[in-house]
Amino acid sequence: MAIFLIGINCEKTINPPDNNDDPIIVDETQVLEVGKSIESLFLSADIKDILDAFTPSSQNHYKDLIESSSEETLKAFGEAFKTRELNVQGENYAEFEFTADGRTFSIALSLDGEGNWKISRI
Amino acid sequence: MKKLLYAISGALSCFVLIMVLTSYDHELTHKEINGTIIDGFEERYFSSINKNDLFHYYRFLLSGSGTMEGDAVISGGKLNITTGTLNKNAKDWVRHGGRSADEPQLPASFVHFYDPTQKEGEQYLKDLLDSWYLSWGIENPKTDHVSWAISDDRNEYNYEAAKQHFKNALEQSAEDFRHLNMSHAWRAFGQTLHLIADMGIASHVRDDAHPGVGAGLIGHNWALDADPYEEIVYKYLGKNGIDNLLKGKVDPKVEKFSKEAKTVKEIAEKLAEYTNENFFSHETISGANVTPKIHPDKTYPSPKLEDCSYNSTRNIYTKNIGGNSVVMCKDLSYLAAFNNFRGYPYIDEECVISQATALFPQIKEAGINALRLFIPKIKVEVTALGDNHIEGKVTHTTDDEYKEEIKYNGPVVIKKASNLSKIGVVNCENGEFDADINLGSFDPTSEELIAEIECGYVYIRSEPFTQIPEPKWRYVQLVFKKVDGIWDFSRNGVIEEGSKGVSLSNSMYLRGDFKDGVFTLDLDTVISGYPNKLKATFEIDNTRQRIIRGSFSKEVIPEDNPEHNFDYLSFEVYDIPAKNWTSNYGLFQLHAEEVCNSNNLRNVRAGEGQKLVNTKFVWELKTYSCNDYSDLSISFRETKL
Repeated sequence: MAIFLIGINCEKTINPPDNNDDPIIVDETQVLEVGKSIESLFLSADIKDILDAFTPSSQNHYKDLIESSSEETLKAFGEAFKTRELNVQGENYAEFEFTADGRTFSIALSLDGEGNWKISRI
Repeated sequence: MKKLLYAISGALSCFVLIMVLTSYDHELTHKEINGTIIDGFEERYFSSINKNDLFHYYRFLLSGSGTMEGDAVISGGKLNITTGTLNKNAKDWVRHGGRSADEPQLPASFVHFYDPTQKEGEQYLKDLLDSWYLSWGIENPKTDHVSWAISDDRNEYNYEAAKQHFKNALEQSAEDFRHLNMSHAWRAFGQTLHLIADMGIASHVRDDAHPGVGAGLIGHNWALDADPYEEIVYKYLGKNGIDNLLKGKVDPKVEKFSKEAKTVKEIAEKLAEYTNENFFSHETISGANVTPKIHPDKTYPSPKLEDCSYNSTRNIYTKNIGGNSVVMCKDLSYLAAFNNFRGYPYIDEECVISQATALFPQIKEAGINALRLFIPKIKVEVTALGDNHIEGKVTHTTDDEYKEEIKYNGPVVIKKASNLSKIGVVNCENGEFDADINLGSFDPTSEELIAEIECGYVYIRSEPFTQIPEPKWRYVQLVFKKVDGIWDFSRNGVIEEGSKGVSLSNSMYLRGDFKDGVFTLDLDTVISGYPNKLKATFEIDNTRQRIIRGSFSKEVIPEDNPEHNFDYLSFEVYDIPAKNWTSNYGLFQLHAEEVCNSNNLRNVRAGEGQKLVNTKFVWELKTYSCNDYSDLSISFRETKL
C-alpha cells in the first residue's frame, strides 16, 4: 500500500521515560498579532487585502459577502473587532469573539501550510 | 487524534514538510476517553449482583499496581516515531493504545475515516481527492477505519490481534510470556477503542477531512480548513477534565445496539451510523437551502437544518438527540447581520461542547460494551476435593468474538472462600487440573474454597466449593439496626441549621423479596412524614456468613419541592463478612473511615451539598434455622443503636 512507501521510521530506545502526557504548548502571540492585522485590514476597507487574509477555500466561500459589503460595513466590522478576545486556540484552529450592539460574534482562523493564520470563517 | 505534518516529495526521495491534517488530539483526548471507559466498565461490573450476570465470577483489577512489560510508543511523530519497552497496568496500556493508534500520524490519518452511508469497500476517506494524494507522490490507501482497526493485517495492533494475544496469554503458562501478550492485547484493545471514539465524531463518519491547509494549493474548490471539533474538545479537556463531557444522557438507541451487539465491529458500525445520522460536521451542514461546503454531490440525508429548531434571538439551531438538547450549529455573522440576512451556518465552541456532551456518553457506553465483548467468557470449576487433592476445570464458551475454544494453561490459585487467603497453587493443563495440594489447616467439612485464575489482571474464580452439609435455614432476617448518616447540609456553601440523619424510623418494618440468595427491596413509602424511595439489593451467602455484594439507596422527596432531593444516600457493598458471627447471629458495622479506606463500601453518593461526617452504617444479620425451606424470608427494620 502506498502509504507505506513514504519512509516511516521506527526507532527503538531502551529504558525510555514515559512522558506522553505532556500537554501541547500553544503560542498565542502569532494569533494575537493576526487579530490586530485583521482589525487594520477591515478598518482600511481594502477588499483585496481583506480577501488575502482568508484561507484559499474560505476566499471562495466568502468572496461574494465581502465584495458586496459596503466600505461602511467593513469599517464597522473593524471597529467592532477591537473588542475581540481570543476565545480558543488549538494547534491549527483559533476563534476570536467580539461584541457589537450587545451581541457576541465570532470568527475562526486556520493555520495554513506556510504557518500563517488565516480567516476560515467570518 | 490526528494532526499531521506531512512529508513527501514528488519523487519520494526527499520530503517537503507541509502541515496537512489536524484534529482531535491523540495525546490527551483518546487516552482520557479510554480511561473513562475502563472506569465505567469496572464500575458497572463491580456490582454484578446476580449469579447469572456475565461477570459475576470475575474481578477486574485493571487500574491496580500490577504491571506488564510491553512495546510502547515513546515519542510520536508525523512519520517518525520512537518506540521502547515500558511497564504499565492494564488501564494504562489501554490508554496508551488510544494514543498509539495515531502513530505515526500521517499514515494513521488516512485510515481513520468511515462513511456508513457508502457500500462496503467504498467507506474510506474520499474527501481528499486522488489528485491530492498523487500530487504528493502517494496513493489513496482506500482503507476505512473499521477495516483498519478491526482486522487489517498491516495494523499490528488491530482488534483481531488483541484477541489473539489474549488467547495466547491464557494458553501459555510462562508468566513473562503471558504478561507480554497481555500488554499487547490491552494496547491493541486501546487502539480499538480509538476506533470507537472516532466513530463518535461527526467529521470521521461524514467524510470530512480536516487538513489545516491544502485545498487552494491543489486546485480544487472544496473547503479543507481546520476542524473546530477536535481542537476545541482537546482544549476543553485540558482545562476542565472529561467529567463535564460525560454529563449527557446515554441515548436509549445507543444503549440498545451496544448491549445487543455480538461483535465490537458491529458496535463501531452502529455508532458510526448513529453519529452520521444525528450530527453535523462543520463542512457537511445541509438543509433549508444550505449546500454543504464539501462534496455537495454526496449530501447526507440526515440531519437537516429543517429538522432542527431555530432560535432567531440567538441564531442557533438546536435538536433533541436521545434526550440531549444539542446546539447543532449557528448562523450569526456580523457582516451578514449588518446586511440584514442570516449567515452561512457554522460550528463554533458552543456547538462543539454541546455536541461533545451529547456524544461522549454514547462513546463511553459503546466502549464499555466493546470491553464486555473483548473479555473471553471463561468458567472455573472445582469438581472434586479429597484428602490433599483437588480436581477441576477451566472452560471457555465460544462466541462470535472468540470462535476457537481457548484451552487454559497456567496456574490456578486455591483460596479459602471466607477470607480469600491462599491455600496453594496447582497447574492447569489444557483446561483441566487434577493435582495434589497441601490443604494445611483448611477443613473441607466446615469451610469452602475457591479456585481462581488470572490473566492480564482479570481474575476469574469458581463458585465456592463446599463439602459442608447444606444449612437448613428457615428464616434469614437482615435487620437495619441503624443506617444513620450525620450530615452537614449546605446550600451554596451555607451550612443549614442543624444536622439531619438518614435513618429509618423506629416503627418501619420493610419486607422485601428473597430468592436464590438475593434480597431485593424496592419501595415507595412515607417515613417521618416525607415520601421516601428505598431500594436495596443484597446477595447473601448464609453459609459463609457474608453479604457478597449489594447496593442500597434512599432518597427523601420533600413535598414542598419534589424536584429537589435534599436527603439522598446510596452506596454499594462488596464482600462484607459479619463480625461476631455466631451460629445464628451476626453483627457488622461500617464507619466512615471504612467507606474511605476499605473495599466494603463503593460508590457512596449523597445529595447535592451534603457531606458525610462520622457516618455509620450499622446492620445486623440474624439467621434462624429450621428444617423447612417453605417460608424463607428476609426483612429490614430499624432498631436503636
